[in-house]
Amino acid sequence: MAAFRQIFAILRKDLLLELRSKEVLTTMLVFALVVVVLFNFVFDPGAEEVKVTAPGILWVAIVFAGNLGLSRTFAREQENGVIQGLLLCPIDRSYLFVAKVLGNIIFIFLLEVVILPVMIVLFDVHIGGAWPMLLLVLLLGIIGFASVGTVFSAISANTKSREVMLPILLFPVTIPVILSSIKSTAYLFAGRELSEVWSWLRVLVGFDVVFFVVCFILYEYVIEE
Amino acid sequence: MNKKSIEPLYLLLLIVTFLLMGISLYLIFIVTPTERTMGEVQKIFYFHVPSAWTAFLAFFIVCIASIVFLKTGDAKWDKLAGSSAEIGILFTTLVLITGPLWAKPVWHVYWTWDARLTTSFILWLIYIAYLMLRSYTADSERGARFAAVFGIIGFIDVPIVYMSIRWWRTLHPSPVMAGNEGSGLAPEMVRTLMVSLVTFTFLFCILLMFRYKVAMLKSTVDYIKSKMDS
Amino acid sequence: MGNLGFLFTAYSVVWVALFIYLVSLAKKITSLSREVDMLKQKAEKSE
Repeated sequence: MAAFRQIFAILRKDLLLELRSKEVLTTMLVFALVVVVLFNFVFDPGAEEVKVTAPGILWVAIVFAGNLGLSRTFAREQENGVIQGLLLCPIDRSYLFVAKVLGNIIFIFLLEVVILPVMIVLFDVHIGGAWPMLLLVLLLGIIGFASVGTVFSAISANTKSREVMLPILLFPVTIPVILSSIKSTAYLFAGRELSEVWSWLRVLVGFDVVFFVVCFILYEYVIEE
Repeated sequence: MNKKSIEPLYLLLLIVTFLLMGISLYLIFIVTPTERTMGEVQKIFYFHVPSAWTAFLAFFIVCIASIVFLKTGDAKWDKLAGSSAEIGILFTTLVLITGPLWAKPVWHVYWTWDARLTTSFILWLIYIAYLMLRSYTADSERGARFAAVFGIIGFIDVPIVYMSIRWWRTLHPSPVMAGNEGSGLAPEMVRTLMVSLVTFTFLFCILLMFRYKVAMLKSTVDYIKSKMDS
Repeated sequence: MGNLGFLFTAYSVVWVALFIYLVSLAKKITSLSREVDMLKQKAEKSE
C-alpha cells in the first residue's frame, strides 16, 4: 500500500507541475501538429496512399513529440535540484521509475487523444466502432516507448550534448514497439477483423513487457549519483 | 615493459591469425568451387558472413562486460565493453559494405529493406549511438554506467528488432536469399566458411586485445596526469 | 562493373579497413606507451 502512496505522490507532483505551466503538453501538441502538416506535403492530399500511410504519420508525430516531451520532463527535474531531492526521499528507486513512466505515459496519451481526432478529420479516416480498441492500441503503444524513454532521458540529460542525444538513443531501440503500434493502428484504420488486430497487439504487449522489465531493473544505475 | 618487444601472447596470436588468413584465402579462391548461379561474386559470402558473426560476438561481449561492470563497478570491464563495441562497429560496417556489393550483381539492387538488412543497419545505428554516448559523457564514472545501461538494452533489443521487422515484412515480397546458409551449400563451401569463421574470430581477439591495451594506456596516462596536477 | 569487379571491391574494402584500423591501433599504442614512460620519468624527477 505504501508503494502505491509513494508512486502516487510523485505522480501527483509531476501532474500538478504540468497542470500549472502546461509547458510540456503545449510544446508536444504544437510540434505534433507541425509534423502532421509537413507530412501532408509528402503525399498528394486525397490520394489513396494517404490512407495507407496515415497510421505511420500518426505514430511518427507521436514519437517525435513524445521525444520532445521526455527530454523536457527530465530537464525540469534537474532544475533546482529536484532529482537530488527525490533521491534523498526514503523511496525505493523502482517506485520512482514507475511513477516517472506513468507520468510520461499520461502526457503522451493526452497528446494522442488530442492529435487522433485531428488526424481523423485531416486524413479522412473511418474507424467505425473500433474506438475502444484504438484507444487501447494508443495506450499500449507508448508503454514500451515511455519506459525506455524515461531511462534514456535521464542518460541524455547528463551528456555534453543534452537533449540532442535522446532521439539518437531512443528511436533505434524502440523501433519494435513503434512498428507494432503502426501495424495495429493500420489494421484498425483499414477496418480489419479484430482477431487480426489482436495478433499484433499480442506482439506489442510482449515488447512492452520486455522493455518495461529491463528498464525497471536498470533505472537505479542511471539515476545514482 | 620494454616498448620495442611485443608480448609473446600477442605474437603467437598474430602468427596464428596470419596463417589462418592465408589458409582461408587459399580455400576461398583456389579450392572451393565457384557457385553455379551466382558465379565468382558468391565468394564475398566467405567474408560477409564471418564479419557478421564477429560483429555479433563483439556486441555480445559488450553486453556481458556491461552487466559485469554494473555488478562489480570495476572500470576495466567498461573499457572492455567500449573496445569491443568499436570493433563490432568496424565489422558491422564491413557487413553493410560487402552486402550491397554482393547484392547488386545477384539481386540487381544494392539494398532491399528486408528484415536481415534492416536489422543490421539498425544495429549499426544503435552502436554508433553507444560510442557517441561514451564520448559525450564528461564525468567518466557516471558515463560508464550510462554506457553500460545502453549497451545492455541495445543488445537485448537486437533480436526483438529482427523479429518485429520480419513479422512486419511478411506481407511484402521478400528477396530470396539464394544459396544462403545451409540450404544449397556444398560441403566444400561449408568447410571453407567454417575456416573463415575461425579466422575472423582470431582476428577479432587480436583487435580486441590491441584496442583494450589502448584503453588501458589511456587511463594510465590520465591517472598519472591527474596525480601530477594535484 | 562485372562479377569479378564486385568481388574485388568487396575484398579490397575489407582488407583496407582492417589494415587501417590495425595500423591506427599500433600507432596509438606506441605513442601512448611513450607518453606513459615520459610521464613516469617526469614524476620521478619531481619527487
